[in-house]
Amino acid sequence: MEPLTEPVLLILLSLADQPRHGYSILKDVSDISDGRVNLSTGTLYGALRRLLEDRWIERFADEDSSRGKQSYRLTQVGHRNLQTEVSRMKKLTRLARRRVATEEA
Amino acid sequence: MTSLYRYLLQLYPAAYQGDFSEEMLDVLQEAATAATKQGHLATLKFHFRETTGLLVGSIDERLRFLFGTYPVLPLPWRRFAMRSDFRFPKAVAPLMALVFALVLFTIMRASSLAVKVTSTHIPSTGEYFSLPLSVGLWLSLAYALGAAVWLILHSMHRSGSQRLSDADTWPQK
Repeated sequence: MEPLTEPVLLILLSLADQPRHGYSILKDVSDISDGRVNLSTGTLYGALRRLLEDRWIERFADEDSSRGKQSYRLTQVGHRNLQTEVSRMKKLTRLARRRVATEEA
Repeated sequence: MTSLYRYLLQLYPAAYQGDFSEEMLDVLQEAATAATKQGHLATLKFHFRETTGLLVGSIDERLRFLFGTYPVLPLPWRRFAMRSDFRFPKAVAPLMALVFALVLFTIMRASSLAVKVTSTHIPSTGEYFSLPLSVGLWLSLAYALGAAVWLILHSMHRSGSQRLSDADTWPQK
């Protein structure tokens, strides 16, 4: 699996704790990136379509929502791939810490 | 602005519109209302971002619809690609350089002929090339054309694009 790009990683992280509909994902991505990543609707749905196609996420009608909006949630494949990516980043961070500490010493 | 966004959404392929168009319009309206509350500058930024996003998104989806893969151009939205897509193989660069050189050569040749024609009388083909030379020239042109077509097909094959598009990225559930 290739490393995920930051926006895709943020979309997956946004769906990691709970299912969300389109606008909620946009807001959450902006919040968790401290306003640094503001996705346009076109970009968000391009990414969502690809994630749906690869079966990383699935779509369902949210009955809790007042207007019965379409919501998105991670699939098992999506969860597994997100965990793999987080593990890869952890390893990278550990390596970076070691190398930087060696440099400073 | 809603009618503009509705128009821009019509630029997407029909299948995509059927799946996402209404939902995207809902999101755009919600986001526009939120941006309006933040002032004029935020609203302006929002509309610029959304218009660009929809235009770029529609081109992206159209190209995917046409070629079955994501665009090759190194544009910002490529940052969202998650897997290996079609890439031009190295053989394409010399091939394109060859085609460019041939086009330049043809233009220069045509220019020189045009000067001759305007300065003297209109010559017949026989004055420029003898019969064997003409036949040889046509054969060479046909050979060059065949070689170019073969190179293109060979390049496409070497890229493995067909195999990649047929590949099942994730195992079935």
